[in-house]
Amino acid sequence: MTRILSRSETVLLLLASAVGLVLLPCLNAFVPAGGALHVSTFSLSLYGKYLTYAVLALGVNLLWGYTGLLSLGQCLFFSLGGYCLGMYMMMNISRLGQYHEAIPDFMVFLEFPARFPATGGLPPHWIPFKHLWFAALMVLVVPAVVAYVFGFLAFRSRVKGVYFSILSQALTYAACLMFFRNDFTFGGNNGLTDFKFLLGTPALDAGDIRDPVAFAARLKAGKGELDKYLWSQIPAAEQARLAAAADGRAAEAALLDGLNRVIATGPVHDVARFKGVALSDATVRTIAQAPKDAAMLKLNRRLLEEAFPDDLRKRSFTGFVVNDPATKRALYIASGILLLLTYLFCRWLTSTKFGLVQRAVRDSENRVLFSGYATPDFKLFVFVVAAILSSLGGALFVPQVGIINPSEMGADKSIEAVIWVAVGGRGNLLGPVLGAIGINSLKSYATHSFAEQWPYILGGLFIFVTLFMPKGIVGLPGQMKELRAKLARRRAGKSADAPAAATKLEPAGKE
Amino acid sequence: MKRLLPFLLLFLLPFASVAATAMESRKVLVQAIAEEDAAKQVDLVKQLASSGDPLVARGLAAWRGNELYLLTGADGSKVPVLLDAKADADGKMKAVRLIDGATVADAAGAPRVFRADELTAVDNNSRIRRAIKTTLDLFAITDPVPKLRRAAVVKLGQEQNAEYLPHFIESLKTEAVPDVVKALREAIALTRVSDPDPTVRNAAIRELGTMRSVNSIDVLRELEKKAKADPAKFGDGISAALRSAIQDIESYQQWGNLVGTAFRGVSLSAVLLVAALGLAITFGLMGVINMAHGEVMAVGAYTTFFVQGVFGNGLLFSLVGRTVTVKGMGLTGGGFDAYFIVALAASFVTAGLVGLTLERGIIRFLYKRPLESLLATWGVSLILQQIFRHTFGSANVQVDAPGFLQGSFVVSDVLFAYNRIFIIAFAGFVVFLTWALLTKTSLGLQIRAVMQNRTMASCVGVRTDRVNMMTFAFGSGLAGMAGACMTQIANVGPSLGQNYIIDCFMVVVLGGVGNLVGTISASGGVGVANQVLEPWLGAVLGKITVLTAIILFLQWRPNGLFVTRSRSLDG
Amino acid sequence: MTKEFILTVEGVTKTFDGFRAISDLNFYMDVGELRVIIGPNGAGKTSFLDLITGRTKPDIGKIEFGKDTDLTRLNEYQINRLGIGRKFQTPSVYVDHTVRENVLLSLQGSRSVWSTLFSRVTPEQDDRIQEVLETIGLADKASSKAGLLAHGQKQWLEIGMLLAQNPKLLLVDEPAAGMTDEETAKTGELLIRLAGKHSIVVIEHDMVFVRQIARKVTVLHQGHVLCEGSVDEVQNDERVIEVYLGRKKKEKT
Repeated sequence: MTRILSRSETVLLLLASAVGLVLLPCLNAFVPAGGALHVSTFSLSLYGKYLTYAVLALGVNLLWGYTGLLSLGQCLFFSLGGYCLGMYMMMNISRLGQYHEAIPDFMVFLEFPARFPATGGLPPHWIPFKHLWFAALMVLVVPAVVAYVFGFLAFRSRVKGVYFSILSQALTYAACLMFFRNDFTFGGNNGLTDFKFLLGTPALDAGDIRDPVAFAARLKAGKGELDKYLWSQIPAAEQARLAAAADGRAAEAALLDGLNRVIATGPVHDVARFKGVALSDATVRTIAQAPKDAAMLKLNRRLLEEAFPDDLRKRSFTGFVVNDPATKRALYIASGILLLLTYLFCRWLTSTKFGLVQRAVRDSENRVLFSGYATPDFKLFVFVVAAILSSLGGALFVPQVGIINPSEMGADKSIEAVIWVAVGGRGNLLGPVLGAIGINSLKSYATHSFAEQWPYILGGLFIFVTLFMPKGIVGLPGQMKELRAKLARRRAGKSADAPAAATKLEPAGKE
Repeated sequence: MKRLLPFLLLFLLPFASVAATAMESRKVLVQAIAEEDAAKQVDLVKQLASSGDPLVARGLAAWRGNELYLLTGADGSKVPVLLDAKADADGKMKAVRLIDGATVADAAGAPRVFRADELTAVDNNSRIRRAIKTTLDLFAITDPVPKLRRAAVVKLGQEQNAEYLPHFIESLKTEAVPDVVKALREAIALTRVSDPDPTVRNAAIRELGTMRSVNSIDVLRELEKKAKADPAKFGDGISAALRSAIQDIESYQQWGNLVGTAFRGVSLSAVLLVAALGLAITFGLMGVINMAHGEVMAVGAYTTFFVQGVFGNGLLFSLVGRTVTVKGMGLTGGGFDAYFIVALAASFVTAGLVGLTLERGIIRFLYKRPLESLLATWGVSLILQQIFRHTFGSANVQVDAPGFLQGSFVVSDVLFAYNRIFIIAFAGFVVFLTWALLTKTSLGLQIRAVMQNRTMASCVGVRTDRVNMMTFAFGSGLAGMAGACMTQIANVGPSLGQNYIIDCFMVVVLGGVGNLVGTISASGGVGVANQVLEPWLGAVLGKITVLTAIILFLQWRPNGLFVTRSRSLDG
Repeated sequence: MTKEFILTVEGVTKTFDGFRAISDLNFYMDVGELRVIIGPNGAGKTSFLDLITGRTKPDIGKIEFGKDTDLTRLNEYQINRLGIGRKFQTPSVYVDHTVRENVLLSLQGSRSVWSTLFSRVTPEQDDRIQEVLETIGLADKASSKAGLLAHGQKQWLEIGMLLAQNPKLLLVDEPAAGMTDEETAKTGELLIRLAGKHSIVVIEHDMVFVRQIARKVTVLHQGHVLCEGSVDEVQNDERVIEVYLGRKKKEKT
């Protein structure tokens, strides 16, 4: 107990980190696209997804492998984390979406302004999600609260075994139904998607315009080519609001809306238009790349800043573009680090006395109860911890795949996560990680090459693993050893009295 | 304009004999066609309302559609004829004389053929067309089929057209079918509600109230609004009469809603019961939750589809990539309807066989590991679903209801659909079957022994292995029959099982393990709760509420409604 | 002043689905007493222990621990924390844990989630574990898995786990089951040694063993106390001979 990590485990972790966290991102960043060793951003992002799945698998394993609680609803927490971060990213789009409204596009589409007139269409609980810190906090708090309430009720009434599994499945099923509803305010069956920026946004914000009234007057006067262009791009409604503005704040709001519309709509740059403007080298380089989508919006913002240095405050950082290779790389690395930390946390947790109690609950819950441990508390603790871990995985999953919708919390997804753990081998920490990455690689390959057959493979895997590999891949060497020993015994017996014993792989668990 | 016309016509309506024989009514029609005066024409057309002669109906419809032609006879007289629908290669058609339905023939007796554009169509105008429509509408109320007659009366009553009133009264005299009598009285009262005479009007309103006429509630409500807005126009007494009539009908409606909800609740409960019973038995016996239970139900449903194809027009499906054609027996009517009875039995057998295979191949190795059996059976469900898709396609397949399950009967305005009644009865039958199996057979005795103490049972010579197998097969067979029933109320597709499985699990969790009474009560509770909550909260929220309620319920009774106690340490 | 009992059971009845497992049971036990409970199968011995340890709740009646701790209101782990330890009939040890870990989990001390997360094993605790392991003769097996122990050793380990808790009241259900005669005798000696320091209730079938350890015997029959007294008194009681010993003797022949 003095040493939490064994020497071989330390070496393994260092090796995996070196390859996963350093080598692969470097191969992506520094080897040119045609190179034999190049790792494409697509692949890297895919691996990043697997890593978040591995975090989920570790959560499942903490419950099933170590505590004997088979939760068939773990993807609920994974999705909740994803939704929390997704909400932040939706808010972060600000006015730069399809509809150029202050609220996320789907809310415009679903006519939220009529439902929530007081907030301009934004459901009140969405408001704080414009802050990253809040969203991040919610990634931890929301699943923890849901898990706590459900776990409290379930464990208090001693729901266990298959009952617990079925109820957890019902929980995620109910949640899934809720999220499918449009009026649940989380985007209905489309969910949250079309993310653009992380950690910041190129949209102009209050305070970015030094003197809105003067700037508006200048644009309206339309002396230069650029002024004229900008004024012409500001929608008539905003122009009218500017004209009617009673004070500086009203004018600022109107001008912000107008200029953000300009940023959102199209390429602002035009050689003729920007003739007299001194652009920075970085900007010139960016223009040469002719960026699209979110990256173009960032450029638009910078162009405005550089064109009007006296009127617009310069911001050095306007957020990462979600689809940018560098962002994807960073997210991949973040997923890797999360997995590593989760692994270390699980290793620590299972090595404490808590870990002993946990496994004792798995093997003989009544004995633990009669030894004075409040097993419901222990189970509740593990359930909440696993929910938070899953949620963290989900939070990093969403920016990498670019969408979160209710099907992600379907009962089938959760049970699939369980099979990763089963295949890899539960009750240890390596198995779930191997299982999650392995099965998902196989799935990506299979659904690409022979999608029709994938359900057979997956279904077969469920059956095969439970029947023949109860300890998963990690347990295979041990199983082989046992089998060899058995064969040896049989052979010895055979030479003695020669019974015609067929040597077959015994299905496990047969009495 | 449209409102005025009937009143005008009311005065024109002669009190002449309404009951004309077919021959006479044809004569009237011919006379009407020949008539020069438009008002008289309308008059004559109206006389035809109670004729009931199909040829007259055809003639009128043709007249209205400009498809009635005049043929100049040898003597110069004009004979109205209808053209046959079938045209020959030249677009020529045979003609039928309106007066006697005979085909127009030449001297040699061979039928003469005409082209539509060679003939002159009988003139009509908007007044005549309107009169024809009214007459044709009234035709329906003398239809020989009571159901159609009733539907026509209800429809015409809603129009509150005073013109129809004498016809209603006339029909009422001879009508014998109670349903139609009621509809006629309702239609008469409803029409009289728009009578200008306050005494007639108020009496009619009161009568609708005593009749609990649900059909007229909208009219009465509308009238109440108008009467409030302009009390002078409608006179005294009307609001009191309206109020009491509306209240009567509303309380009757509420009662009807209650009965309707209860009926739907019970029928949903029956579906759940049939679906969950098999699951409860296998779970009770083996502690194994079969996640593929829903797919076993689907096996039953597809078996029904297959049997239907064999009895009907055959079917196509693909087996391991090869298309297989099954030729149907092409039965119709009662012969075809019998398919469902055969299908019920066949579903039991096929699903039972699937269950047997499942138990022998997989589940028997996992009795000591219930959580893993959950995973393995989930794998089975994935595979079965994909097999359905590959065999019968991803789309839903069409299963037709046998004749005896189509339609419904109505008691006091509450609809009782035959298929739902059948399912309730069938659930009763299945419960009886299960009860009989468990208590009256030696297998049942063994099953109960194994349920209570597996080790002890095997010690006293019960072949637990065989009992497991038989029970699982039986439970799966029940699921298969549930699937066959499902074809009558739900879509049959690869995901059929998934739609009900969570509800089934809830029933089992709620009902407690391996307990017939518990399963019945639980499915009753879940089914009725779903139906009661749905109108208030919508389907989704209703379902969520039920799930939450179950979780909370388990706080109070952790082991479900009924508990079979065991004395083992880790039970 | 009434005498202070460690365990007071008065008028307790428990029904399972209409079957009266315990019926109007009265039972009093002194501090430091070693009491043996005997009775034919289905007499309600195990149900009696279930009631004391909170596994089931009585329909009516009073179960008090010490002066006035009402056990019927507490659940299993709360009752255990009061100092009531129970050894089950079939040995229940944590098979995947080492012998040492089994004892460690049972050591007296805080049982909260938090303390298990952050507590370290103190030298005193280490000494205590060693002491217990030596008492039960498993010191040399400390790091082998409990699942690999022989049946008798598991029984001993479970007793050791009880000792580690240092309970005031020990409830021991058929400790000698599956033990060799030598082991049984050793178990008896251990229980006698422990009596005085702890109050002990032993349920047993083996009459040789009962005679070895018993001072006072309670006979249960159909969930009710049939008689109480020394081994000889009980064995000579006609009612007991009728319902239990007589039948038992017949069975043995």
